[in-house]
Amino acid sequence: MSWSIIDIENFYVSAERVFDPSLRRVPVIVLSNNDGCAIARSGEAKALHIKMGDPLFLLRDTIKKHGIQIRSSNYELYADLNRRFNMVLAEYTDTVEIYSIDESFVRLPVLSNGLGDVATAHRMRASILRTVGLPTRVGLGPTRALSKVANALAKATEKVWNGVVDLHDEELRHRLFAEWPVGEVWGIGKALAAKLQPLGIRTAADLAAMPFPVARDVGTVVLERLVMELNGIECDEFKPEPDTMKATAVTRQFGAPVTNVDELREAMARRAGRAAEKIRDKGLVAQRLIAFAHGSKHRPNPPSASRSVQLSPPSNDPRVIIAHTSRMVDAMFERGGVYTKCGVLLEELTPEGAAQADLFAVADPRAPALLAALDGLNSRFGRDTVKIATQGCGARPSDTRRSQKSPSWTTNFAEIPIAR
Amino acid sequence: MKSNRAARRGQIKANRPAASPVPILFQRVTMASKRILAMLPLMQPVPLADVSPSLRLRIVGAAGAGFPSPAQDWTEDSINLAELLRLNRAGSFVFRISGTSMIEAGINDFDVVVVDRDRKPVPGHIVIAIVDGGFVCRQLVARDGVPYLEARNARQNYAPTIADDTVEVWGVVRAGVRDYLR
Repeated sequence: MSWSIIDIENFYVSAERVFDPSLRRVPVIVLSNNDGCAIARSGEAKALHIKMGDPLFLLRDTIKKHGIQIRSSNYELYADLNRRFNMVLAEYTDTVEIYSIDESFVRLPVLSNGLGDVATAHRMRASILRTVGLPTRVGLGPTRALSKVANALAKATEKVWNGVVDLHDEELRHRLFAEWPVGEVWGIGKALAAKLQPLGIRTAADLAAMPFPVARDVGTVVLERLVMELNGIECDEFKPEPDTMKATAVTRQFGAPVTNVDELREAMARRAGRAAEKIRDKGLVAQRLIAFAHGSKHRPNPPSASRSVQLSPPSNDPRVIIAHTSRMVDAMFERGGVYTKCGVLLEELTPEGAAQADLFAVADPRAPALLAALDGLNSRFGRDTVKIATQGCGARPSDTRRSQKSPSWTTNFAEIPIAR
Repeated sequence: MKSNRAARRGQIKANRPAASPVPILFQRVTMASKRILAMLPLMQPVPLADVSPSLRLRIVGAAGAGFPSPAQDWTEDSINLAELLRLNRAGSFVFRISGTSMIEAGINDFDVVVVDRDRKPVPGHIVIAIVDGGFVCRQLVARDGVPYLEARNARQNYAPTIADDTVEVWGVVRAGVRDYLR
């Protein structure tokens, strides 16, 4: 078996372009949460030297001068198109591993000549472009790490290789690895690259030639596995899947500063509700809850406080969690304080049912049925159809800013695209 | 006074089905009525005349006193239009039609259409295309080997568009949904 990884080119921008023809062939950038900085750039925007993470306020002049189109992130759209992307991939393979919102690993058989199935890779690309409207690149290799390297090469050599690179051929690997800086190999960060430098390891070829025990000494077992994978030895533990979630956080900047306790309580409840929903989705309960709120560092005497509580019995019930965060907000709110951000952390997550029972605390026996109904309604009729009243209704100035968001074209009936 | 009586009539009417064996499963209680309910001594029957007219009563379930439904072993999931329209396909999207450009093809203003991106458009198909930077709904036809996008409304003068490289056919219209009471 061999692996291939398919990534979507400039995903957020490409997604916007599917439903907004006016964004085609012009520079486009998509902004992060709260419209802070550029997190996706079209090829045209990259050519104007706009970097990943450039803050919006520094880009104002460039945007005006070149007529760059701006969009807030439309996660409803991106999640839906990612779902469709993976549906198409599933038609070609028995295994799709979703690696991130814009890339997935796919298992494909090796051809009888020992090479990767490049023809199928091209078919997957064409099918995704036709079905979902998204441009992609594919890297193939005997291991996930090699497919990832191949994918990076496919990006860099799109014009030459038509977006598909296969690294099954050992000789080709040797030639390419000699030119490939070690810092650009998947999983080698700046710190690790600096550590490898004095050992004379500068290219991917040097890295692949490292004896496995040395790799383990220099890095960790993770580096050893990477070196093995680069040599075509598949490591089962070398899975891109994150370990089961141990903690989750929902922390967001306010769209506008918050100065009163009711607003802060409501904003905190919204984050708490979302955090509880996230862990319910994974079948987990939290044993520890932390809530914090603070002001801007750039102003004098910003308020800053946090509270934590042990949840007993462990919970993912928004009624329990929001009751706690509301009390916490009342306790930590400073009169006259100007708050710019708050958040909720749920920690020490354990699978539902496996959590240690508390001798004295009794969980609400009706909760499972109620929460199943709550999640069922919200998944069928849209997020926040049913929620805890403390979370409030409608948009608030404290909500994360998404002022340039495109419509939820594929997930909300009121916003579907219009044809004349 | 009149509205008061009407409200009361409504309550009585709403209460009558309690005797019927049809179970009603949903309960919708407003915050205000919740508070009133809390004040009522619900352990005892309350004469309808004593209930405040501002309180709207709803039936939340049928008492299990009658015959069990003879249909209970034969129930199936209710009909799911999303399934009929095959909205769960990766390449199926939903558009709203605005205007009467396709009225003679049976597509009206405000219709909802299901569009397949993954279907190869051939002459005769009704398609969603991008013309002058906007989405239009037109029929794809071939005249002397040249593909055209044509509106289907003889009363209005819609100019046909040659479907050349500058025109992108976004998807093929497969199904339509109309609200006849609108």
